[in-house]
Amino acid sequence: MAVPDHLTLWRGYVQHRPVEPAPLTPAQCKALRGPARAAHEDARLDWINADVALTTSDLTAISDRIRLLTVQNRVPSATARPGLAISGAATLGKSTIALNVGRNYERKERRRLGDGSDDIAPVVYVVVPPATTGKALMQRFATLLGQTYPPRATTQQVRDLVVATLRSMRTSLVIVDEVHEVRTNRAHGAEAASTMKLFAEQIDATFLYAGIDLPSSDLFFGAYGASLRGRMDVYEMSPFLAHRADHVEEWREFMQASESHYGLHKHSVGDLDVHATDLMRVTGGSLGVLRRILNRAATAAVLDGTERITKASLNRAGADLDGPATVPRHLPELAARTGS
Amino acid sequence: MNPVSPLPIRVRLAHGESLDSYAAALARANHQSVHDIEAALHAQRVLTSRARSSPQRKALWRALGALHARAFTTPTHLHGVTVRERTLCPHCARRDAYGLRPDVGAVCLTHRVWFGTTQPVPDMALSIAAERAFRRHVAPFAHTGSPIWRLAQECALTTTDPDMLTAPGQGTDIQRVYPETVAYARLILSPPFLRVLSNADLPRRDMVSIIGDRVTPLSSGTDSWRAQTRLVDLSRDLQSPGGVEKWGLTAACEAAKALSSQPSSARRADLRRAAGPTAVAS
Repeated sequence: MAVPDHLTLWRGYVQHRPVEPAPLTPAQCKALRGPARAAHEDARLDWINADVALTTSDLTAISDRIRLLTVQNRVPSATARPGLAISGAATLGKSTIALNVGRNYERKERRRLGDGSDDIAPVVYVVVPPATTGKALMQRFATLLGQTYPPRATTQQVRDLVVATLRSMRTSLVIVDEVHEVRTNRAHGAEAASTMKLFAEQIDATFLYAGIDLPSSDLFFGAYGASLRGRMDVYEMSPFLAHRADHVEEWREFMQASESHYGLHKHSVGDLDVHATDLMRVTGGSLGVLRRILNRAATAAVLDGTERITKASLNRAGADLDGPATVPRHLPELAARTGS
Repeated sequence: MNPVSPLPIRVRLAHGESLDSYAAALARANHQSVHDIEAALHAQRVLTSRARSSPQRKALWRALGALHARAFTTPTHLHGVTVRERTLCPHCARRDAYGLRPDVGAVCLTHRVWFGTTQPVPDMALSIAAERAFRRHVAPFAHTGSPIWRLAQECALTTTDPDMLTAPGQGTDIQRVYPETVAYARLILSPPFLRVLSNADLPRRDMVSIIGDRVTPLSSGTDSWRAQTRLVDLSRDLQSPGGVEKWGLTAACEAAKALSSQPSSARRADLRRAAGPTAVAS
């Protein structure tokens, strides 16, 4: 599924619910013949690689905060509304969490409002394009909503159009991903930041930003940056660390949840516990990287019929458990700590 | 594939609504104007035609409103007569809308109001019965813009008791004589009567006598001769070359001829078949 940065795609993303295949015993699986067997295998592979977010402490904490903020912000207010910024290194799962929070919020909001129609859009999700200007940012919002705007429309005209549309569609959560792309130390970046600030002031919605290392990014510097920083709670996502017992415990729980999700016939939940710290080491404590390796290994286990994830299959999936500790370049803090 | 994605705020298309009416409503709901939206589409080279009735423009607005392919396909001509745009029932459309509804007379049966207004129909039972008769017997061959409908209105207005027209009550004269108008239109379009009117071999005296017999029960005043005269003139027209086309009665006359030799039980079904599709598409 493509990044749901258009209203139609977003609605498809919200409505999409991966279907878990019927849990069959190995004997029942073997008894299947021809197309039935192929269909069952395809369903299992789809389920293994499905866009299912497993619960983590970050996901729970961010969901709780968003729930709190959206309830607070539901009351009409003349002043700027508080928002949340998810910050952290790449591949830690910021976008995954933002998307999941948005999806769950939209489902709840539609239930609350009793409106499943296309007339409302409780959540909009936008990805900031690189080196964006204020006008480009507003045009991005207009495009994602499916709005057309006159060719010579000014930034203000497009912003007014977007604001009016979002108000009509009762939008109450705006997710802005890759927000670090707004660089306020350049003229067009500053314009984008100021546009974003004015935009946020005009809509009765909670803003959720996600981006790389936001506290030290350009977005939170300068006059507008300070104003923005003042109204945003920053949630810092950090990689899992091997010397923190609570991190190791949660890491292991995540692995077990993944093992349970895959439903491999010859694999029991907890079989991978012995490799937990090694996997944490080689992935740099990134759940995104871990999930990718485990998905690859589980897919291979179904395709080759072994139905089990082993150290060898993890290595084949790119883990390299016997190799030296490799800290991804995008995790500078960890690299400094481990001295690699 | 159409490159245009639907506008975010949808607007329901009213039955028979015209493109201009819908486009204005959709643009307004999306906080824009039709001009701005079309300017953007021209700039993107998605819309190349400037003609208001171009199929491309219709297709684009269908895409913008996420409408079905039958939207804006209501025929603009029926039986050789132009169908006029008129205000649609504001209750049905849930807003001000206009469009083509050749299948409807002067009453919205759902909301019991004069079509295109919020004004309730005063003489409820009679007007509703008349509307049902219009839809069943008149709409297959004529609509409210047809010359035959105007003739029926003239007949109804001239033969109705003047006291009834001046009596206090709601509605215009035309609305007050709606049941009588439908009755006249139904009489003119009935196959046996049409055969009489278009029969050149029938002696004039006999024709006047038959018309008089049929018209007298329909008139509440003493001036039934006015309607009689008009129908005699109509018969003269129908018997002259090009008269049938002029009155938009080609389909009705053909159906009358085709049914003349059939037993009455099969007539109604064949009458409908001969009339062709009159249902409004959108």
